[in-house]
Amino acid sequence: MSHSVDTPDVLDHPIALVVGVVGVVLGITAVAGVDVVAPPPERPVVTVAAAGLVLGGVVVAARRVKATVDQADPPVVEWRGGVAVPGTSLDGEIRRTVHGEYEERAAARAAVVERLREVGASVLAVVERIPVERASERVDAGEWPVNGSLDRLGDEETGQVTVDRVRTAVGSRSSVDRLAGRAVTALADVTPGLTLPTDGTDGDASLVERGATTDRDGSTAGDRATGDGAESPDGADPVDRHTGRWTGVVGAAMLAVGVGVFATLGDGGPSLVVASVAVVGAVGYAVAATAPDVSLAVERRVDTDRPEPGEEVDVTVTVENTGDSWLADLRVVDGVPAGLRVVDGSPRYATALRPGETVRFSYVVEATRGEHTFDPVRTMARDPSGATESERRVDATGAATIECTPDLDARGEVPVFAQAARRTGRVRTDTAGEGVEFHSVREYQQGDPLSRVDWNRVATAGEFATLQFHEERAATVVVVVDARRPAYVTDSPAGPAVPERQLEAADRLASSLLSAGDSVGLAAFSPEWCWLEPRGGDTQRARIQRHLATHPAFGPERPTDPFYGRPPLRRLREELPGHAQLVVCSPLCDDYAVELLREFHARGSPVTVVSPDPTTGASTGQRLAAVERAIRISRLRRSGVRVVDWTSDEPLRAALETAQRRWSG
Amino acid sequence: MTFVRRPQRSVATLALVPAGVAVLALAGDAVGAVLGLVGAVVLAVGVTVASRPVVSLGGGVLFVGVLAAGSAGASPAVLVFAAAGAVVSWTTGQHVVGLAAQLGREAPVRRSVLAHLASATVATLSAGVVGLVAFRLAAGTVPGVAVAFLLVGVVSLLVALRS
Repeated sequence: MSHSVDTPDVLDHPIALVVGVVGVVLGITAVAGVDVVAPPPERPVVTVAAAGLVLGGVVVAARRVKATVDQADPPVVEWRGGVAVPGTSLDGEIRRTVHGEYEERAAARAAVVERLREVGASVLAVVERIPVERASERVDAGEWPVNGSLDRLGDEETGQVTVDRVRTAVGSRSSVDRLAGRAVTALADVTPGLTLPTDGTDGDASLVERGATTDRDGSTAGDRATGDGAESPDGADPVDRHTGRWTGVVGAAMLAVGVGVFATLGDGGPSLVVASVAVVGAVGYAVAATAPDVSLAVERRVDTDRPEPGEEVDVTVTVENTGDSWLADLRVVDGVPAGLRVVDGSPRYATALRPGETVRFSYVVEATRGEHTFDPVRTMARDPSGATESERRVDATGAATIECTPDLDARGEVPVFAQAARRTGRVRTDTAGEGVEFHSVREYQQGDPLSRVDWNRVATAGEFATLQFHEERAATVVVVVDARRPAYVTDSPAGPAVPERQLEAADRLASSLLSAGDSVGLAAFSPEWCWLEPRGGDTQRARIQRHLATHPAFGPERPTDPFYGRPPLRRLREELPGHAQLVVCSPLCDDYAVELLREFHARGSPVTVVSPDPTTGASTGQRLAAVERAIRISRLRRSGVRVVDWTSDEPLRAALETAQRRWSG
Repeated sequence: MTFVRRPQRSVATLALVPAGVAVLALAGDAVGAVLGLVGAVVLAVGVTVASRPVVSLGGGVLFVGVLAAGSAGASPAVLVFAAAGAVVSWTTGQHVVGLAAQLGREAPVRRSVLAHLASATVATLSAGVVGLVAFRLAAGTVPGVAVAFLLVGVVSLLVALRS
């Protein structure tokens, strides 16, 4: 995408060079009155020359139609980095069915249809309780009701693209989006346990769309929160580029001269020839442009570098032009740490900067747990005309990190909820002994505590008997946080991210289980190994909280390495005590999560999943992601895994209570 | 907080000021005035929705208005203003759209836009004034054809010098 500026060479354009030299020589000789052109050009000759100019002008100006402007595309640092919005890839395909070239549109359509077919088959498989292979055969055979709209999706009608482009430009939905949306709604209707908001009403879709979209210049938006698994490579090298924003203006100058000559020959007079000098001036100004020499000093200050989670932190950036040249057009984007989001102000600034001059701007970020390191500041400097752009990365002095660790003493006060604990942690056994719930009565044996003697029986029958209760044993629970790459998902790139909710859930579950007397351990599905042996007590609570706050497995940026099961899984299985159960916090946004959890469950470690819901139903892709997630939940429940579906608008406690009613009912 | 790749209204308005000047300069010629007005409106829409093609379309229509007025015999001084206004409005509109794409709506960009507006105005108007002065001095003595040759030569050399 980026290329360096070549040294200009007049020999690159031999025709223009020859025409230019000949034109200037002829013009000067004509002015000097030397009749080199003599006899003075006949009218037809001039007419032909002017017509040629007009034609050439039109041709050159028309290059503008196909031309793209090449400019730096800084990521959306305002949003959290390293998270994806589920469903963005389908939304991207749907957009490509409108905005791409012809082949690209056809491929995108095929991809949309294929994707819908796949999900249709897995929905059918769950609803009819048949294997997925059989279900996809039946979908291919046209059995699925959704097929009606899928067929129409397959082919592009003539002129449809133009209509769709106009539609999307005014904020309406394209025809493919409508058809796909209808298909997804049909799927959602038959998917068990899923209620989606009504289609196409949510204003949030536009936000997500802009976030992940390809912008109008055709350069891809290197956004932080892009599609499922998209990478935004950060070239650290300085880049100098021609923006190409003046393409075609030469044509305007040629047109002005050509039309001006016609006007001079006619009765319009030579004023257009004079006016064309102004356009030539603009062209000259763009051509003469050289990339500015950028030398900057940047300082960054934060009002506190050890905030509490949720606290707002003011960041102030000061930029000084330490070079000798005037920077006519300087754009600055601060390297907001990927784990933080901007809640007020903008980390971006554009200005003109004289040598020695200083500008200052500030913005506000919201602190989340973890250690957050600022990235270098991106600067884009252009010459006054904007024909060249120099992109640089400047390391700022001053604040480099924001460290946010929850205050452990304060967090000890977090209210715990006994119900959840009893369900997920404390186990009522069928062994008779000490306890609360009545089990049976047996003959008194010496040494039985007096409190358990059945005094009623002593009074009525005169014989001693001892009451027995269901013995309640402390359970051994390992809280597992799904911190694999696909688990770093969020419902909106501008909002709180789901990894944060997973950590919050893990923290509160561990606290309440410990309060109920269970032994609690901590582990992560992550390329980073994380393991805390199950233990009881307040020390363990502190240990777990410190791990959740600072362990690299739970970092704010999603891991680049994949988590392929075998070695780390085997190690985790070896560490797990035989009687341990798992409470897993996972958004369930990929199929591998389901396999993983089913396998643990089947191997004798009962699994409960607390799943923060990252789907919103704001766009067609997100609605499809919601359908897929509901299918995964169904499949898990069928294998006996307990699933707590935790939507973003309810407190965890409410979600747990709902789930509990489901389990006891 | 959202990230919107469209300019603030006040910034978009800055780009339209030279277009306004151009439309006023074209007021003397009916065809030129209508084309100029249509071009300015299209340009305004393009800047507001942050679309480079629409900005170019608007600037182009405005420029055709200038050509029409020139063919109909508008005075050179007025036409220099109109041509400069069209070019400056177009390039400032492009600048605003580029800023919106890179920095979004929230970032303070006014000073950058003003600097671009000023330097583009100086470049086009100073060239235009040189042309005007030359025209006044040489009126009647230099054949228009010579001027045309010179301009073509200069433009071609400029193109050749581009890398």
